[in-house]
Amino acid sequence: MPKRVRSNIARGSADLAILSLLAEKPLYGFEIARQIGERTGGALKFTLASLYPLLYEMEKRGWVEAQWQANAAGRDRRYYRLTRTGRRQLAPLRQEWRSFFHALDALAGVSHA
Amino acid sequence: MPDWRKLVRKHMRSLTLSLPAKEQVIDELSVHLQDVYERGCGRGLSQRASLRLALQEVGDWSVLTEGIRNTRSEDTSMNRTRALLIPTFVNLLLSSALINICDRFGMLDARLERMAQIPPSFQPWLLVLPVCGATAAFLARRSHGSSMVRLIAAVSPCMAWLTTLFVLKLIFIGFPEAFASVPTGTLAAASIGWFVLPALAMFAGALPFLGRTPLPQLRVSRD
Repeated sequence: MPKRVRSNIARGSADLAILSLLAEKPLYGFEIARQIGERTGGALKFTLASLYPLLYEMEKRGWVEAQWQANAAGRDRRYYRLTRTGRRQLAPLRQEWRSFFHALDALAGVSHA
Repeated sequence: MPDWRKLVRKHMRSLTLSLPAKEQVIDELSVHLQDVYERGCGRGLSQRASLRLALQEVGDWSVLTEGIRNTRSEDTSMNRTRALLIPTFVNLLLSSALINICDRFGMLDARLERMAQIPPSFQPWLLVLPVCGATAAFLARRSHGSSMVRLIAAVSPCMAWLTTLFVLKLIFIGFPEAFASVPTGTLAAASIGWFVLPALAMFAGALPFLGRTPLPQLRVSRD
């Protein structure tokens, strides 16, 4: 697979993963990485190098907004919250990935059981 | 426990962002690494293994730095304005207004000759300068300025006054006849009166806002 296609897929899946999580509740970087890792059984894993540039870009685009707040332990963490613009991105992104998997399934039978 | 801020700062040396933006990034990455480290320790890993785990989470430092530079670079001017320039401007305005008020009511003799003679502690405006320093530091902290940014915002008027003194000195050097009317040592004494003592007063006012205190506007549960 050409590198560009591969990186676009990785990028798109990362966008979807983060936006889907933040649609549930505001989270900070560590929690986003932890939850994605745990909920995908370790299949998706974010390093700081892959997570933060993405979060900052989403913030710049207005998809998420960030604010320093104390977490349950009383420590300051920078929480990311999905904005209305971000929420609007989520539905077409989900649809895009659904179509993508349907197409791959039709071609190569890759849908899950 | 490792000094995560120091570690991140070291690796982020080449990150060219405004000071407030860079400090915010360093803060955020530091607490992330600290969380990873503590989770490792909480799972029974040794400190060394937890440290290794945290460093593995980073990935490639240069990729991280480059990625952040690319995504945050446009925020630079806005962050600088909010965290440094506005508090500095407010501080300068407030402290200058207070000096003028003191002067108007005869509580301040701003002439250089007198500044050297009158012990600066007798200048009533020194007593209100902590309020100016506190205001600037508070505004800078509210805009997520780092401790250094808050400190600069708090003592910035003193720098402006010191600069003015240097400019005056240059003028005196250019016009020796004007300088002749100023006693020897006046400028040095005035520097103390206009810079050192006001800076200390403003620093004292800013002190409560220089630490990394939590901002508990809203508590968000982890679960």
